[in-house]
Amino acid sequence: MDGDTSEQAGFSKLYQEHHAWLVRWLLKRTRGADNAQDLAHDTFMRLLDRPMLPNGIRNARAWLAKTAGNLAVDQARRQILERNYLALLTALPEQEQPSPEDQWELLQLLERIDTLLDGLRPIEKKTFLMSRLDGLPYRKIAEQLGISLSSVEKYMAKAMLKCYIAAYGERPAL
Amino acid sequence: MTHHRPNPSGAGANAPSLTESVIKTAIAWRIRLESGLARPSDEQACRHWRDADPAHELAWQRLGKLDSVFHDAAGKAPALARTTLHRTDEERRRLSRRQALCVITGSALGLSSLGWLATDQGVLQHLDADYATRTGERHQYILQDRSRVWLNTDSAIKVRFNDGERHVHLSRGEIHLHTDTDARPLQVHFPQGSLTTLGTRFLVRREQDHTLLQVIEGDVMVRPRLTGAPAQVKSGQVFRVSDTGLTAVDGRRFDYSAWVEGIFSVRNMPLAELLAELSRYRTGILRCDPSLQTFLASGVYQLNDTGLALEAMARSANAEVRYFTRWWAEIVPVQNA
Repeated sequence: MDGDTSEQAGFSKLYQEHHAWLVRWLLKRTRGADNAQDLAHDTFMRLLDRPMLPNGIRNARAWLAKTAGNLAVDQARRQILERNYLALLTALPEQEQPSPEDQWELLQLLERIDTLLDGLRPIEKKTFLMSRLDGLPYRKIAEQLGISLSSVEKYMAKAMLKCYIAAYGERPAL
Repeated sequence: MTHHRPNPSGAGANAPSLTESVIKTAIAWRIRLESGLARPSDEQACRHWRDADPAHELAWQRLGKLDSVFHDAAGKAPALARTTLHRTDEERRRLSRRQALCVITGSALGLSSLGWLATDQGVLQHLDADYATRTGERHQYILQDRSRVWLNTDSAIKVRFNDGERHVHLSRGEIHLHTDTDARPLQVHFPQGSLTTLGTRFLVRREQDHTLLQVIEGDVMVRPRLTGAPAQVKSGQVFRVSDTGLTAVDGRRFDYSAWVEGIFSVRNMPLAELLAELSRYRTGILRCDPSLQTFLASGVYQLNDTGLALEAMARSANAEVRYFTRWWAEIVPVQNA
């Protein structure tokens, strides 16, 4: 990032003009003052990543509200994953639990997997996870799910493409 | 709904874009080789395709790199990973149906409800309960007979009064009830039985497999569900009520009704139990290092800032709080570098 001063001044100005407004906007829509502060902070961090600052008050506020809203939804979604993970983890007998370092790493991996596979149909996701997490051959997956081998191949292809797009860009170039 | 997400692979925006046909061909090759139907010549042909163009090889490598995320998870705990993802999806599907409802009923974004739906499993109970609180909330209500009832965090009650009787059903959580003398007896119902009183002050708290009862003033009659034989509990006593009977609890270690004043007061309580108590008031998981679980903590903490309480508890054990995420905190021994 280059230290373009006018760009920086623009950012400070936006921050000063809209930060308090954004926190109030978030407070009305999410629970907890801490969370509103954090989300507002994250939203302005996103603004820094943008090549161009949004112009004009309505425009800036519309962008901030939309970004903050998306962040809040993402946060709530991640929270569901984390809560389920911890509940299942603590329900395991001690000797079956992964080591403490692995417990934390696994949660991070699951958050990534969750993002990579977001939007797949349940059957597609199930097929792919049976292959990748349980290491089952296609034939076994077809048997267990009661579907044809060609369906397994189709779902695997769909899941791989989804992962690819999630990781390397919204749309591959044509 | 579009999501702005961090790039999960760490691939920057300036990573070269490959054409869709190259990516799809690479995927087709992987599937052919994994399918169990590959001929020896396929291996060779795939190698040939990869070598033909650096873009082909790049697509192949990227798919391999994505696979490693799954292999790493499988190497740690595949069943845990699969079940977590599965349950998470199911819960989100239920949630989006309710979100759709929020939109219909005119709530601006449905975000505030999403926030607490996500933290609260007893959602349906909120709907038919007469009074309810969410995690972290405490609230006092005045009932129709002028009784005062405090609901602790994540609690719900149904109140049914008529000319001859007063019934309170504890659907979830914990209540502190202060009732004045009334000609009608007041009954509180919980899974393991019920209690009856005329005028008194007491606390009822649902636990996993029993209900805890503390009488502060006056006395109450308790009827366990299976035996039905009534037992009297007097002021100052704390009992655990199961389906079949009552067991006395030492009420000195933990002040069960201090939450009504917004505080949390313990004496010589193992840290692990203390954290279990505190975690009722916040979303997420609190844990402590195994070496600290039996540390005996004493102190008075404010409930309106559980983060601060957590810091104070850690300090008293010569330890510190480590946050893995906003919702996952652990008390660990101070690490000396």
